[in-house]
Amino acid sequence: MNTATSGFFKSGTPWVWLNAAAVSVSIVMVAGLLLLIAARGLGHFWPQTVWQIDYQEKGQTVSLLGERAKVETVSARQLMASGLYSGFAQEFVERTLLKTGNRDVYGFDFKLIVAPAELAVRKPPQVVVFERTQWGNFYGFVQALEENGQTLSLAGDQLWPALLARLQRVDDLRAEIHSIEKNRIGKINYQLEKLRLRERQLELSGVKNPALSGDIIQSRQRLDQAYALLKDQLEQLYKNISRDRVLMKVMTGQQVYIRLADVIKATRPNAMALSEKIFHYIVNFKNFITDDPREANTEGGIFPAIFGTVMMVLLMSVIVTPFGVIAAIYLREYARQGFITRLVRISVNNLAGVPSIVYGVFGLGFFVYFVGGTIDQLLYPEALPAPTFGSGGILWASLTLALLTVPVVIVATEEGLARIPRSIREGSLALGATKAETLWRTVIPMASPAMMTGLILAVARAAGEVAPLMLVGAVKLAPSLPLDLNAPFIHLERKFMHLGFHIYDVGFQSPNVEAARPLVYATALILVIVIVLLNLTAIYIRNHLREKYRTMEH
Amino acid sequence: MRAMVKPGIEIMEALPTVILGFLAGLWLAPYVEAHLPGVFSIFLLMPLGIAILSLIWWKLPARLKLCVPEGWQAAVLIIPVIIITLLCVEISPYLEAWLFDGDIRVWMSQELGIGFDQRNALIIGIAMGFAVIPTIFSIAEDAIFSVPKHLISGSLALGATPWQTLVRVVLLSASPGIFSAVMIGFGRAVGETMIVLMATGNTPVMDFSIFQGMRTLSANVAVELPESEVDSTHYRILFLAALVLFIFTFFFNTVAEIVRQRLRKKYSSL
Repeated sequence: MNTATSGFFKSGTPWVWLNAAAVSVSIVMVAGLLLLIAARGLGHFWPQTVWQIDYQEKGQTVSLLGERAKVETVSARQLMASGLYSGFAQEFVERTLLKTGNRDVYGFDFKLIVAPAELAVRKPPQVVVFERTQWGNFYGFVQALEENGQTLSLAGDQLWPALLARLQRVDDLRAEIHSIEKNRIGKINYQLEKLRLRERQLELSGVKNPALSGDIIQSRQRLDQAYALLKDQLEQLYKNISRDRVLMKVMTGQQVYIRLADVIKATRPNAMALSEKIFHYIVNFKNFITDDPREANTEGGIFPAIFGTVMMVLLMSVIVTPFGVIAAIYLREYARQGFITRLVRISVNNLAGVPSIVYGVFGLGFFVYFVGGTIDQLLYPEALPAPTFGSGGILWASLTLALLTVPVVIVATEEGLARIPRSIREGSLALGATKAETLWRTVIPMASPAMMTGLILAVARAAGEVAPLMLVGAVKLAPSLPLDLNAPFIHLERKFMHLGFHIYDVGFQSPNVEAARPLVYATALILVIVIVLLNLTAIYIRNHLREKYRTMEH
Repeated sequence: MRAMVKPGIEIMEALPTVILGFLAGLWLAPYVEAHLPGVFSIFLLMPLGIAILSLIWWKLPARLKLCVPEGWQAAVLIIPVIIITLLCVEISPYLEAWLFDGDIRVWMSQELGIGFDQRNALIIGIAMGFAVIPTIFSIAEDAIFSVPKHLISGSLALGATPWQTLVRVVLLSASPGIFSAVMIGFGRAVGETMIVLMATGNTPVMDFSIFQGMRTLSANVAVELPESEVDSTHYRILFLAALVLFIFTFFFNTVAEIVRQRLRKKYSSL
C-alpha cells in the first residue's frame, strides 16, 4: 500500500490532475458566466406571472400583487437578529422578493415576504399590468373607462377590448407627437441655433451688412411662425391624447385613475396562452432594441446606446485600419530589421499593455482640451464660451479608441504577412514583378484575411472598452444622435451613448438599481453576444488561414 | 483538447471588463456575502477533492482508464468541479449555522475583529483573476509550447516521468516566458479600471483586510477626472496619477518583452 501511494506521488499524478483542474475551472467559469448572463438577460422579456400573495404583517393581513423577482433561502437566525421578524421555529426560511410596482401608490416597488407569513398565493387571471411612461409598472384590476370625464357604460367583459382599442389610438397620437417634437421642432430649433451663431459671427467680424442681418431677421420670423403653428398642433394633440383615463383598483383596495396617455403597454399575463407569451416576448425584445430609454434609463430600450456604439466603432475602424495596416506593412516588408524595428515592436507591444484609462486621460488632455479647444477658437469662435469640439464627443472617443486598438491591428497584420510562404514572394519576384507589385498583387491579397482578423479584434475590443470613454464623450443620456437629418448629417462633436457605459451607469449610478437590474442583464447580453460573435469570427478566420498556408508550404 | 481550450480562453480574454465588473458588483458580491462559508469551503475542498479524485483514478483498473485519452483530464474534471462547487454552496447555510452561530459576518467581527463590506477585495480578486487568467495563460502556454521538442524527448528517453520532465526541463527552460506572462498579467491588473470601479465601494481606505473596500489609482482617475476643473491642482494630480500608471505598466511590459525576445532567440539557437 505504502509503495503504491509513494508511486502515486512520484508519478506526479496528483499535480497533473490539479493542473488539469485549473483548466476545467477556467472553462467552467467562462461557460457559467455566459450562461448566467444569457439566462438573466433573456428572462427579462418573458411576460412574468403576476401573483397575489396574502400575508401577515404586524398582526394584519395584507395582500399584494406582483412578480416574483427573487426567491431565496435565508437563515432564520439572521432574520430574527435583524429585529423585523420573530418566532421562526425552523432553521431556514424561504423569502420572496415581490416586485409590486405601483410606486406612486405604495411608495415602494419591491417587498420582501417570508414564506411562514404567507397565507395564500393565487394567480388572479384578470390582473392587468401597465407599462407606464413614469413611475414604473402598475399592477391592478380594471374597474371602469372614462372619456372626457364621463364613465363609459361597458359590461365587465367588454372593458378589456375597449381599453386595448383606446390604447391603440393613444399609441398613434403619441407617435404623431413624437414625430412633431423630435423631427420638426427639433429641426426648427437647430436652424434657429444656426441663425443665432451666424448673427454672432457677423457681430464678431465687425462688418455691418444690413442685407445679411435683414435676411437673418426674416428667416427667424419665418421659423418662429412655423414653430407657432406646430405648437398649436401639439396642444391639440396633447388635448386629444389625454381624453381617456381608466379607473384601476389596486390590491390594497385603493382606486386610482390612470391617464391612458401614460400607459405604454397593457397586458394580462395570467390570462395569456403560451403562444401569446411567445409573441409578447418577441415584441418586448424588439422594443428593447429599437426604443429610447425612459425613466433615467431604467426602463425602455437601448437603441441610442447601440447606435452610439456602432457609429463610434465604425469611425474608429475608418481611422485605425489604414494606420495599422500601413505601419505593419512597412515594418515587415520595407524596414531594415535591426535595433530600431525591435524598439518599435517593443513599443507597439507596450502600447497594447498600457491601461485603457491612461488612453482616456491622454484623449481628454490632448484631443479634447488641446486640439478641440484650438479648433473651437479658430473655427467656432461664435459659439464660445459653449464648447463645440472642446468637450468630449464621438470624434474624440473614436480617435482615442483608435490609438488603443492600433497595436491589435499591427500585430495581427504583421503575423499575417510573416506567415505567407517565401516561395510565393520569390515566385512573383522571379517572374519579373517589382517589390511593390509583388506586395500589391500577391502578398496583400493573401494577407487580407489576417488584416480582417486584426480589425475584428480591434472592433471587439473597442466595443467593450468603457473606462476611456467615460472621459472623452460617452454620456448617460444624449439628447440627439450623432447622425440625423439636419445638414451636415454627421455631427462629430456630439456626445453619444455607449452600451458598456450604459451598463455601468444603469447598474451603479441609477436611483433604483433593483428595478433596473434585469435591464442591465439584457444590455450585457447584447454586448456579450456582439463581442463573442466578433471574436469567434476572428478565431475562425485565423484558423482557416493557418490551415491554408500549411498546405501551401508543402 | 488544446484546440478546444484555446478559443475558450480567448473568449474569456475578450469579455469586456465592464461586464465582469458589473457581474462582480451586482451578482457575485451579494452572492458571496450570502454564501461566505461556502466560498471558503470551495477554496479548501476543491484542491482536496481533486487530489482524492486523482487517487481514485490511480487505483482504477487500467481498462477504465483507457477510455479517456491521455491529456483529457481537464474534460473529465469539468463535472466534478461543478459538483464540488454546487455542493459547497449547498452546505453553506448549514456550515454557517453549525460553525458560526448562524451569521458569519457577526461572528467575524466579534471573534476576529474583521469588518466585512459587501464589495471587498476578495470580490475584486476573483473578478480580476477572471480578467487576467487569459492573458497569463496565452503567453505562458506559448512559452511552454515552444520549448524545443528534442529537449522533452531527451528527458523522457533518459527515463524521467512526464511530470519530472515538466518540472525539471520544460518549466525550467520556459521560466522566462512564464515570468514575462506574470509580468504582463500584473501590468494588466494594475491598470484595470472598470472592475475596481464597479466592484469595490471605491472607499479610499488603507487597510490590508481582504474583506474591506478599496480604491485604486486607475479607478481614482476615472471617478475624479470628469469632475475636476481644467488646469487646477486636482486636475494635474490626476494626470500625475495617470503618468505613474503609465510608467509602471511601461516598465513591466518592457521587461517582459525583452525577456520574451531573448527567450525566442535562445530557442531558435537550440
